[in-house]
Amino acid sequence: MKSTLQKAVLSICAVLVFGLLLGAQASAADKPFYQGKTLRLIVDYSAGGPTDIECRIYARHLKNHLAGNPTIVIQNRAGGGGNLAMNWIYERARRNGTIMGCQTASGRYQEWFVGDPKKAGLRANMEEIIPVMFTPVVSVGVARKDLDPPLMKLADIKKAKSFNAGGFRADGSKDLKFRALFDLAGVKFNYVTGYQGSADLLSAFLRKELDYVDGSTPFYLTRVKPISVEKGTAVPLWYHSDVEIPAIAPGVTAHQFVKQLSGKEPSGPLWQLFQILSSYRQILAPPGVPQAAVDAVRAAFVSMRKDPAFLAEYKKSVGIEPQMLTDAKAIEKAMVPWKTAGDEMKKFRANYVEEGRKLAAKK
Amino acid sequence: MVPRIREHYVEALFTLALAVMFAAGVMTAREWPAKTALFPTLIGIAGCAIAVILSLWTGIRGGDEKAPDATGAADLYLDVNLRSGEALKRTFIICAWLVGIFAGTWLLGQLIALPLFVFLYLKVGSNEGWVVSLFLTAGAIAFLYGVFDQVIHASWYEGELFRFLGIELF
Amino acid sequence: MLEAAQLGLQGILAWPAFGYLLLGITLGVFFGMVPGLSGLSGMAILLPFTFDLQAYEAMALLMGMYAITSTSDTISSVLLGVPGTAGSQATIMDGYPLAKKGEAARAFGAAYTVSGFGGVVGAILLVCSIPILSPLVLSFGAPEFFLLGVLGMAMVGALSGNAPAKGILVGLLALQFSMIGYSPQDGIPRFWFGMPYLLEGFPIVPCVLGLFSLPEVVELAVRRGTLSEVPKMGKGLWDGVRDAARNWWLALRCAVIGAYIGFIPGLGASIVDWVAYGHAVQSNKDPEAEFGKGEIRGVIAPESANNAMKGGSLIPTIAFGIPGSATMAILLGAFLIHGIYPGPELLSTRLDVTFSVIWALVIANVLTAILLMGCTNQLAKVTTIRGSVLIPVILVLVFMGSWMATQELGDWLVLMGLGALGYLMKRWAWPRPPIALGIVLGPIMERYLDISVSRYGWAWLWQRPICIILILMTLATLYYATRAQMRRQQPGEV
Repeated sequence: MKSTLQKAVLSICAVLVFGLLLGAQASAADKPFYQGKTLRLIVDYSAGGPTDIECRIYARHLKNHLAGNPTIVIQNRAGGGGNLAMNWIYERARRNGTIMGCQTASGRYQEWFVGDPKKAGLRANMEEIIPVMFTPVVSVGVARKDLDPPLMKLADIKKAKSFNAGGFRADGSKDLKFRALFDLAGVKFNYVTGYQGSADLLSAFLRKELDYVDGSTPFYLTRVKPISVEKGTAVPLWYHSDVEIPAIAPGVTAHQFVKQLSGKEPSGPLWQLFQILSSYRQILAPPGVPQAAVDAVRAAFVSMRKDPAFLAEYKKSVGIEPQMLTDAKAIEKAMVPWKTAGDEMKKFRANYVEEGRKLAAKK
Repeated sequence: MVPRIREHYVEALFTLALAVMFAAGVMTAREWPAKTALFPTLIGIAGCAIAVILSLWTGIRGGDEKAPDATGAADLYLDVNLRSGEALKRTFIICAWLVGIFAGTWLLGQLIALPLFVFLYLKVGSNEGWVVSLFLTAGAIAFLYGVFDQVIHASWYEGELFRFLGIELF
Repeated sequence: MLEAAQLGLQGILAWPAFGYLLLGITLGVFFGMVPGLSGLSGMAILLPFTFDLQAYEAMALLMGMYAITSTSDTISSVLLGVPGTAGSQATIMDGYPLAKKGEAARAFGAAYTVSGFGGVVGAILLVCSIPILSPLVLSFGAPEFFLLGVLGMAMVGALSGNAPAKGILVGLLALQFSMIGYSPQDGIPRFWFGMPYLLEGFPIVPCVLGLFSLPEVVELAVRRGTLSEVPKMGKGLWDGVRDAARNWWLALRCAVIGAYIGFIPGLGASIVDWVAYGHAVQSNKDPEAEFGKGEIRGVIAPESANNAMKGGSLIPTIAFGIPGSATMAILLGAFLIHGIYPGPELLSTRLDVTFSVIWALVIANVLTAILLMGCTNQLAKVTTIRGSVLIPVILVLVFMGSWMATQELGDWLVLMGLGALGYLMKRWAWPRPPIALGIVLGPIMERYLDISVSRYGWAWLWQRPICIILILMTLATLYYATRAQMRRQQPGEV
């Protein structure tokens, strides 16, 4: 039989343990999700690229807006055209909210829904990846003015005797995008592809190897514009955005570009393909991440959007104000073109890629 | 002149394997569009031809070839004295250590496997004293954790053992 | 221009900018010395810290670090046979044998002297080319890039010694390796065996560490004893400095080669040292020189070139905002953060910033050379440490250096696979340098040949003056390699 003393000690202990457990639970409920944790953002391209630069700006400011002030770390996992990072997030990353992707993964979504993921080495199931935040990447198309005859107004582009447009790869979204747009608008062009990156493209454009390049706003506003547009040797033609961006004048939206040159409202599978090729910088989480983590990161981006220090720095590097989609519904809407594409579109895209390969090999 | 005990046959066989590899490359390239296939095909045909000739040459003439460090090529060559049976044994041992690093990392992750390797190599493999072994192991841990984890933010391989057990170590 | 130069110098020497320069140098020594880390990782880590600095301070910090990683990378190349960064692969060829002969200090003396010298020459070339930057960069198009690749591959001849057939076979093998991954125009994956790791090709760092460093580790383990094969230290630091002075003409030529390779986007660090090394071998008239066995000129050539390359690589970035490498892309980001737009602005209204960059380059190179010379004798003692203690240290460095390529176990498989290949090649006297050249140049040649043909047809072969010059240079290189080959064979074949 236990003595009274023993009983007393045991009951005190039980009360203490119970109390501690309760207390711990209460404080866990109060404690922000990321307090005392490290959030690792996995970037799918190497350091120094546009995705990396944008993600590093996010990382720098996210700390101040994410409740609990966690440490934010950037990790670059480049390779396989972004597939390595996505596969890693899907297959190996911890699903506890401490690892998320900061990527331009729109290409992975396109590959998954309208491409051939297996052939591209994409193993991540993009339907299971959790989209946390999307920021549209606005692309801008620019042409040299010294064409024959010279490019004085938009309509002149259809008169050019030789118009060399350059891209990265016949099956890449960049190439498909400008080809679709020019085909819709009825612009004839000589398709040259295989350039290594935007720096390579820009240098070919400056030495007149190419008459046309396009790229995202940081590429246009901080590099193409000061060196060629402001000097009067080139002019922006179009940009892909739902909102008008005065900084890209006299360029017009893609919709207007097609309408003005062809005289018709853009429509049909080619226009649908163009919509599918929209690009986003994204924060993505592996499946199974606690909703509290997703909510916390989304809230941080909502708060960041109002932070003048962040906005100023973002604008300096990216050129425009960020249009962050943090609401689940808005993100879902952005994904509609991918999700509703279907098999018809898949076939159409594959044929169009093949056509491009033949076009580039023509000479 | 250094006698090379039938090693030239191994070398000839290796060269022949390269020829097969080049040929396989050419065969694979047949499925690709002309432009994608152009470089691999040209390289493959040239490589295969040279490899076959070199393989025959080495197989037939290899026995009386000059000592490798006398070829005058701009490269470092293996010291000719390191070709005895004992040397072969030591070569296998160091290769086993290399495979051990890989296997250890696969199982336990670098943060454990690499310091463990440093310690085992020093203490067991080389009979070094406790002080040197522990000191260098501590140094390895400090280096890996301090530089690669804290400063560079490298992403570590999470050992399969810990993944299997569901333990989050780092 | 003088005023801008003065303003730039004042900006860099003023406190706290100078303090940041010193901090950059200290970090650069570290990033260069540790294999796998490089100017790129340094830039990526430092960039966020520069957001709150003034423009001069930011340039001092970044350039101080970037300028000298190719000086300090010599340390591990010479002492451990492990290239500190991709730019010091060729330094191993003679630097490591020098260390084995107990002459590590001499290798350092020569290397630091020409590193400082090369860095300054690179900066001077950058200044001299400011007025002609635009036409200089724009004169190189796709056809010129292709022919530069061909010229680089022609170096294989010079790097193959008496084994030209093996050299060519190895070069072809490397080109075959370089075809792994997406094809440049069609985007069709080749030789990837269903492994996404291979889709973007072989990463160069694990390849080089496997080919050159693992076989040295194996040899050290088999041989036992210390890294230095002789009990007493041989020639020292000042002998190296004198060697460098005696070979100033070679150092100058290699510096010019380095600066030019630097300014061509996409070539850069991975091959600059090999081209310079090949040049040293090819232009060598000394019958007693034995490259690959501790010939000091084999250290001088790559070390002068890889520092000069840094100045050259700034040219397209400053002139057009065209970064030739990922490191330059980060520097470009730093410019933009400080509201400086590359191109006309950096060459006119903000010329002072350009000069602050150039001064940082010069000062960092000179200071680092002096600083590292001070530590040489201590460092050289590493070669007297027992191999059994050194091997685990080297292996941790080699494996972590490889891991930083993509941070997948695939990096280690490449390392070990190429390690086995490198060992066999070393054993059978197959020249290994063509592998590094082939892996880097293969994609460049394929890409730009495609673009040249699809844009210009074939007319560029005879219509573009630079193309004609490059073709002639290639033919000359092949001719000299063949001639040297025949001369060398004559006495032996009798």
